[in-house]
Amino acid sequence: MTKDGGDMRPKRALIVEDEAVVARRLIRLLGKILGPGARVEHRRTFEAARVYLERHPIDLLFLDLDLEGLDGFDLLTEATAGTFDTVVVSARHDRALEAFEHGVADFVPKPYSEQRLAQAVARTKPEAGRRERLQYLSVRVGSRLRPVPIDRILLLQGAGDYVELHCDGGETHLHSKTLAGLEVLLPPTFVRVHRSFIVRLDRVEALESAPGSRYRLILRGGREVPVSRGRVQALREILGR
Amino acid sequence: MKLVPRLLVVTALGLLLPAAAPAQLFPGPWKVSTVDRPEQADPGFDDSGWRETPLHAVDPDGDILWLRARFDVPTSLVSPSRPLGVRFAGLATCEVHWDGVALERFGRVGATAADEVPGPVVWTAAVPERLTAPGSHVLALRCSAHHRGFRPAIGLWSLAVGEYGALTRIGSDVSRTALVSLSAMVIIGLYCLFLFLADRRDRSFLLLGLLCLTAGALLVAESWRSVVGYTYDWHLARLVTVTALSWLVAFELLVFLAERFPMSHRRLWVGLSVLVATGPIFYYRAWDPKSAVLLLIAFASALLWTARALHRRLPGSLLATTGTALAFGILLIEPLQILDQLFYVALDLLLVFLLAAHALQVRSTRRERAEALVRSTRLEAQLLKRSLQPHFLMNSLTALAEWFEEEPAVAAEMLEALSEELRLLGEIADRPLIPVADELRLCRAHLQVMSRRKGVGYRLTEDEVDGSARIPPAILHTLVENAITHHAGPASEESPVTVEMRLVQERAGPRRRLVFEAPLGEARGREAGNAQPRRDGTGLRYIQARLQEAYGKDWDFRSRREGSVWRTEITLP
Repeated sequence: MTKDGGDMRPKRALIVEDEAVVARRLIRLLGKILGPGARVEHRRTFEAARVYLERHPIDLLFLDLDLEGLDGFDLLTEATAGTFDTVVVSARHDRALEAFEHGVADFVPKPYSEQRLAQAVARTKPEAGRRERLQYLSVRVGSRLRPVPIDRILLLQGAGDYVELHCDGGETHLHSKTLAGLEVLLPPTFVRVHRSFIVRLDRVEALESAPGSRYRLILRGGREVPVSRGRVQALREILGR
Repeated sequence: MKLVPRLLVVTALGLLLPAAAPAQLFPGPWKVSTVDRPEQADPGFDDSGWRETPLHAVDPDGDILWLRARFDVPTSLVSPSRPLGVRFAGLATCEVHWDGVALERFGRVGATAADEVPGPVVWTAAVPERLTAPGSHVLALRCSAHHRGFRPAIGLWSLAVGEYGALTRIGSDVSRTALVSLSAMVIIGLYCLFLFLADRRDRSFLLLGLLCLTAGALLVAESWRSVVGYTYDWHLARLVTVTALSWLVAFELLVFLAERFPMSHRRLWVGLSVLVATGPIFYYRAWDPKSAVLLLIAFASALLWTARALHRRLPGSLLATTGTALAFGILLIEPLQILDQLFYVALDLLLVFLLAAHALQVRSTRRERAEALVRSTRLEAQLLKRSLQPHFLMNSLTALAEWFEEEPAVAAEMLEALSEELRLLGEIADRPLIPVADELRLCRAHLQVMSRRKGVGYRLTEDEVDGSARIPPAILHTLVENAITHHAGPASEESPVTVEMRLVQERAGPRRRLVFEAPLGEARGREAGNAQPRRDGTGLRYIQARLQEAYGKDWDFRSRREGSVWRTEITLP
């Protein structure tokens, strides 16, 4: 709930699950958790889901990693590139860590109860906290999606509907999530210093004041990034000055 | 040097070095007469009218014969502490007179068979010292031979004069080697029989044991003369026994090798070799060559067989061929005298090699069995794990959770089906073969659960399938699982209402063939082409490992797409 009491629950969900009865369960329970007014769609295959996503934006994706004959992690790379949050629901409990490395909001092992599912939904909200284990962000390279290790990301810059990832070696990639959406996923080494910038702390050389009582960060390699006034104090504390 | 090694060296030398030939002289030429009068022993008797003859040409066929010879005793032979003796060897009873004095009697010469008491084939009589001054002496022999039983080529073999002790020891070195060989032969023979009794599966040990014991009997028969001695009327019996046992040894050697190294035409080979080896028995008149050539032929043939086994790289063939080649080589040193000593040395050598080959084979068999056990255990574990496969179990439990909350009646039914499937998997996991009917029950329980889970009607129909025949566990179950996950799964949003899988049993020559067909989902059909989807890998490996465990190499497995259907053929004995 936000300060003004509005309903911040996600409204549009898509389930990708090929088992009829298991899908039924997810649909039924999600219906209860998200409340009336929420729209829960179901597709049996990833292709069908893709087709749906081309036309319909969603807030939440529930993805079964064990869809027949396909490698769940190829799917994951594609899914986490989207604007929405992804929750993995899987029979295989041993790949949870890998899933988190790709930037899912939660990993729900089967079988699950209604409470566990509700917990997963809760984790998709921004206040839910940082996840330490993210290792890859999926970006579009040409017509394909590629996982980019976050170790190579220097800074993230919001650019309209996308976020630009600036990487080592001068590479730039685009990600579909919002900066806020990515902020929730990234580990504490990445700090939101501005409305449009997330910076990697261990590449920071100096915090300088600029004319007009502005502040900026100097990154290794000379790059300059503005810091919004509201965040200077917190940044100073983090940097230990 | 320590005591034991010293003893070994001395014994080896003693056994291997031939005894020095003692000094002997062979009186001659001999004169023979068929007149039987006691005064013919007298040294002064006038035998000028008698016919001269070499000793080996004398044939006392039905008569009493007298033989006389004059000879010189050299000074070197005479010595006070070493009395002289006369050694006779031959198939006759003989009375010896030295300068008219009758020496020790062995047997009794007679005019008829009833009167004659047969004497030993070999004997040595001591000569009284007073008669043995150096110089000229006369030997007179009175002999008869009514008990020979056959007409030998040589009736009287030798008559020698020499130092008494030395004469009695002639042939003792043969006995020594013979007795050592005999004990080895008997021990190895019994050992082989024990090995056979311990493991009845290996018949070659029964045959090897019999071979050793027969060779031991042959050795006993051959060396009886030197070791024990016998009266000459037994000589024929001994000759026949030796020949028969030689033949038996040859036969057993060939049969053993045919069993130990089974290759094509082995019965033909044994039959033919034995036939050829029997030839010398009828071809030679003399007895020694009958056995000697027979055994040479047998060993030559054995060498060919082991060489063929070596060419085929059969296990143990290198050692066997080496042993046979060495043995055969030893026999060739003196081909016609092999039964004296060489044969036993050769056979001992061959046995050593065969036993070494056996030890190696035991080790490799043991290793194979251990590996087979490991494989079986692994397969059992694999199958048990299958019931715990997350995709199967967790999805089933999730579906059950849903049914419990929304459709309790279905939940109860599904719980039963699921537990039936789990129970069956647990039961069959450690068995190499189960009835086909049980396998079908397992598949049907699985299909029942999957049908409900997926909302698709999976059915398995069977055609001419013999439920009581046996099959390795969970093979059809694997095919059904693969069919559901990779082939008949929903390729598009419109999934089929029913999916029918078929199992048909056919004849394939003397073997049976099970054919399993599952329809391909549309998209899968397009993608799959004719190659097996990669995800089927583990399942296929399991099937092949189980088939190998149960049938060795006697099975066939084929899987391919045919139109809109995935067809799998399993051919089994």
